[in-house]
Amino acid sequence: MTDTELHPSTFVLDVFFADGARADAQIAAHARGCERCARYLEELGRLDSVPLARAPQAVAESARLRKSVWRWRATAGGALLAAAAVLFGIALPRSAQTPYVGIKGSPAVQVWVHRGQTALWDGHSPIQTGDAIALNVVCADFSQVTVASVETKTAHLTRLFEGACPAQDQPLPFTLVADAEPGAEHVAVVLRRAALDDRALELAVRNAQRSSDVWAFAFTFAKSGN
Amino acid sequence: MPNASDFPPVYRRFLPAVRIKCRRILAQTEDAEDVAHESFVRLLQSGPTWTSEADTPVLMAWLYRTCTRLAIDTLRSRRRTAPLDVSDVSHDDAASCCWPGGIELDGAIAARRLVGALCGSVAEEELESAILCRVDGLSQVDAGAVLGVSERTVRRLLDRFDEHVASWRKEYMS
Repeated sequence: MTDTELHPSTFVLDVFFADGARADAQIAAHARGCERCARYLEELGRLDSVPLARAPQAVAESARLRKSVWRWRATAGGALLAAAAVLFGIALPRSAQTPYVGIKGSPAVQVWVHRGQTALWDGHSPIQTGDAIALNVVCADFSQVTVASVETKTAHLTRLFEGACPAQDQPLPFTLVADAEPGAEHVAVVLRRAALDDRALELAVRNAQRSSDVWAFAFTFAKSGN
Repeated sequence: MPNASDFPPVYRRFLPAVRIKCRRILAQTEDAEDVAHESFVRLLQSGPTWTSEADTPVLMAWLYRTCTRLAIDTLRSRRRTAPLDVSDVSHDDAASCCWPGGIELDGAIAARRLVGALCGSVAEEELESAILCRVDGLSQVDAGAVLGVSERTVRRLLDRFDEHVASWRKEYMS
């Protein structure tokens, strides 16, 4: 489909344009004599002067918002909640522990919600603004854990926490605090053996991957009043 | 409406290439602009930094990879919400601006159509290779460099994609 000996590729022309369309004399000379390559570069120039359909400021803004969907704390309050979660883990009657995900020896996640008092989340009750959420993970054979918020429209993940799996029955060393933004919050917990790049993490969450290398859980927190 | 010039200047230089590439894959300008926007959100959040012209190919490759993957997500989303439409925008003047010389327009547009038709059933890696080599017109070596895999792997992925195309055609025609 391409005659790379005669024409530079789209990639080469894109790099050439990004570098100011002057860095490579050979490409510049080619473009002067090639109508389609010249037209392509002209189109790049035209697009450079046409506003993007969506507000560029929204780039920074949306990045900021994504990071603030969950405020997370590793404060004394968080530590207190974590301690409470552990305490409740011991004190709760067995019937209240049904949301515990998994069987003995398998990876599992428990979600604790603190609103005045700390209780094990039942998997569907709405949360409220200001609720603090702690996570207990049982990593089984996995060594690392990633917690991310998920933007469902774009499937974009924002990493909220990454670190080593805690000791058995210890909660992760942070709490998530629900903000007042409308809409449900989606959180993924991914247990893993090795680092995952953004795409691998995205696919693991999307496919609810459960393999010997990656084990993904997804939680949706509806917000009361939405 | 704010202007593209509001982007950090060092990244603004990459925006036209991403916009035109997204249009090559998606044809529809609105979707293409959304994917371009999202690619830049990700670049600013977690992409490589640009400090000199030596970084330009690295950053461009990162953007090529990212916007290809996001465009595949968009194609898959379209397939979930709309019935299969194997028609496509013909290579009118506006569309032809998206491809430089050396790329056969009919072939590139046909490849785009196949990627759209098969995006729901073919592995992402195969779609990425097909987009980079058949729609963008990169060589297998360049596509491998963008994807971080060997030329041989790209060739294997393209072979697998072609097998899927053959099966799909057989099924579609019957």
